[in-house]
Amino acid sequence: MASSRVPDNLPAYNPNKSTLAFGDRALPKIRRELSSGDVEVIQQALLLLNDLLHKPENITSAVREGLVNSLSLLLISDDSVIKYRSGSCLQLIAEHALGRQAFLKLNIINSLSRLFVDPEPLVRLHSHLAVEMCGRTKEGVQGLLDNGLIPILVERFISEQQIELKVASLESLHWCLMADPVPGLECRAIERLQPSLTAEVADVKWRIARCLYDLTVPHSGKRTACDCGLVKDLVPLLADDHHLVKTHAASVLMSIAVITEGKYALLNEEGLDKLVSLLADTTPAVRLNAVKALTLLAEAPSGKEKLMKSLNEVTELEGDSDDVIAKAAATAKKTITWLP
Amino acid sequence: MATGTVTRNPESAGAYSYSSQPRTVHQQQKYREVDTVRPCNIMYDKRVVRGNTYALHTLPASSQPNPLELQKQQETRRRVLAHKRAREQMRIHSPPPVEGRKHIDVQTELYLEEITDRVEEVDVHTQTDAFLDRPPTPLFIPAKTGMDVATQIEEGDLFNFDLEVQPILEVLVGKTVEQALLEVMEEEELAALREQQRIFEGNRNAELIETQRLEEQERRRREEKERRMQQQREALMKEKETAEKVAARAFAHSYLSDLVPAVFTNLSNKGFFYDPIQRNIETTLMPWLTSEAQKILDKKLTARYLLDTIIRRAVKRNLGIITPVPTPKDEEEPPATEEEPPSTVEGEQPPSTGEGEQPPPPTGEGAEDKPSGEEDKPSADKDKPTEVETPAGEGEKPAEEGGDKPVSTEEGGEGDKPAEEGDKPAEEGDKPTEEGDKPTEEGDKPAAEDKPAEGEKPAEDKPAEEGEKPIEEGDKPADVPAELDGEKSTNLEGEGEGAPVEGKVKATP
Repeated sequence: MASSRVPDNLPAYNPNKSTLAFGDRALPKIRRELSSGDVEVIQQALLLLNDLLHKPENITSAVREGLVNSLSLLLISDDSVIKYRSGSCLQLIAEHALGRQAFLKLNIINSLSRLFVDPEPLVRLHSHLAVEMCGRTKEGVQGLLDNGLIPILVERFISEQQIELKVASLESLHWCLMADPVPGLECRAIERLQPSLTAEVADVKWRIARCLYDLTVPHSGKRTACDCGLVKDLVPLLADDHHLVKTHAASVLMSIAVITEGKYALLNEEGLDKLVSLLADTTPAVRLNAVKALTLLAEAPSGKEKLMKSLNEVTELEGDSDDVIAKAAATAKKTITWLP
Repeated sequence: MATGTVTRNPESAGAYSYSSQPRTVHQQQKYREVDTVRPCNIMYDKRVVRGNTYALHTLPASSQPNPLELQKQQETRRRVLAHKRAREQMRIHSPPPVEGRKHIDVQTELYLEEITDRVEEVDVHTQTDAFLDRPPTPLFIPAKTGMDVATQIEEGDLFNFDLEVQPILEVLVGKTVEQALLEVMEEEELAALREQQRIFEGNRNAELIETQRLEEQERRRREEKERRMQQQREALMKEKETAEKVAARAFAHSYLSDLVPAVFTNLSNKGFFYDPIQRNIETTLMPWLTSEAQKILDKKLTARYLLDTIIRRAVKRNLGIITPVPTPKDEEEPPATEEEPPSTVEGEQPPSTGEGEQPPPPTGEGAEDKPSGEEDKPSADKDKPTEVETPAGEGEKPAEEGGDKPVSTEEGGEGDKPAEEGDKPAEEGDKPTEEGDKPTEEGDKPAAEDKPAEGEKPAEDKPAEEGEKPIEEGDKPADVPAELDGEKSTNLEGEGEGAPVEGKVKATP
């Protein structure tokens, strides 16, 4: 049996991955490797770590082991593979509350946001995803806002070419704007996002609409939206094929219609008929937003007059399976039939 | 294996022509003695660095040579060249060739040698044999040692791969699948969370807008309410204004209707429409008239005082000679006379302030009265000087004084008759107090008598020269000037005020 020949059927062996130490020793070993300074070793360790971090238990030990700090130091590496792999590791860590706390403590968001302008798209994507994960909690959003990410994200969205990256930057932007739309209004986000509303694919469009909704929540945002003719761009989106586009376009219109100028702008653009047609949509969110928007339009005399004709549709909606919608429809009906 | 052949081409000799006869080449030895390396003095060896190593000429650090340095080098080189040329010229040359001939180089060495440019050469060729295919390496078979022993192993006896591999494979596949599942589940969870969050957000947004709608509604209603209130307020204000205007108009009407007559009556009442002649008399003539009259009267008064003094002095002189027997009747008289003038003066004083003309006559009267009274008195004194100094006189006066003034009684207690005289001065001295009392009795004098407190001094000074005489003199001068002063001042004031007061009264309306 003894043979000097190397057997052909060797067990599967991935040369890109470093070997995993047993049990508790795995993460310290990885940490050592990460700080070794050898590019190849670091890459191997990162690939292994990437697999390990999918297991929630490992997150805790990784944070305790100080891996977050090691990874953040790798973000300024010259090697793009290291950068994006550490970015994706951080993304996995950010999915857990413990990881996010560590992020805020070490101000990883700042290091990650520096990678937004990295020449390598993959690096940018992972940094965006990691930042976006942070934005999902209140503390995380505060961290994003503290780093002044809103203008940067708007800038990134405008300059990015890849859909994936646009989506990622819009996701982060949404969380930031939901928490505090004022910096967005200050950097004229509405005006800058508006052109993309008609130019982009559905995936981007609905996210833009969502961001625009966040921006129009404060009064000044609504006024700005009216001033720059956002209604004109949004009304055609109500007839979009994608249900999310419809939902969010309706939500922006609903938000704008709160103020009187918005109501009349919407009525002038004949948004009312389109909204009425949305009442029979299959997606509940679309129906809800449409009925809310109509409620707002009913407060304008001319809108009320027009809505009196389509009162039937509203009344039908009162028997909707979703009680939120039913309630909204009842309110709408009350508003339409209200007499001073 | 490789065979090297040296060809000398003897066959091809015909094809070439030679300038010299071919000959064998002197076979040089391959190894030569190294005689070229002579032992040399290192002092002259160029490779040995002499002097300071810092000045050693080394390659410049920068690839770009310093232009300055370069220039310097060139210059040195040029200089050396020039030097060399100069030396060349300086050297002694063989004389120039004769015409038609020229110098040629000749060998002067011991042995003649062929001189040629052509380097001696030898052609050498080598040709390797063509390669043959290498025969395969024979399988290495170690030399056989020991004895051959064989064991028969059937298939599956020792190692069943499928069986052995199963647990490992299971672990591997299991781990992989676990990892994969973990990742898929994670992604799904995230997606579900996102969806959930999105739906929740949608509802939240809708509710937020509902809130904003209600806020907006509330704002509109409030504004409307405020507008209405404002309108109402404005209407009320206008109404009020109108009412006020109407009232004001009515009032103005009624007020203006009798304004003109009222003004005229008021002005005429206040004396704006006066008779210029009457006014002139009132303001200019009358004051002048009174002051003139006053002057005359003053003169008269002075003359009378003078007379009084003279008379009194005469009486005093005669006082020691005659011892008077006083009668109460006489006593009563002088006071009456004395009292009269002041009373009249006082009685007429108040009117003096009102009317400028009246005061002088009363003073005149008072003055006339007084002197008359005085004349009476001195006369009475002359006639019966006892009147003044009799105990009866004392009896009366002390009665008054005793009641009012203990001082005078004490003085009275001091003495005898001369002391009685001394009493008088004492009375004089006490006059202020007495006078202070008198008003209570007489009731008329107060203003006139109070003032003399100041006016007294001049009165006292005069009599002081004459010793104790001026008993009644002291009285008079003290009284009269004071009265006069009072009158004068009051008159003057009255006059001064009279006109202005009128003016004021007129002006005020």
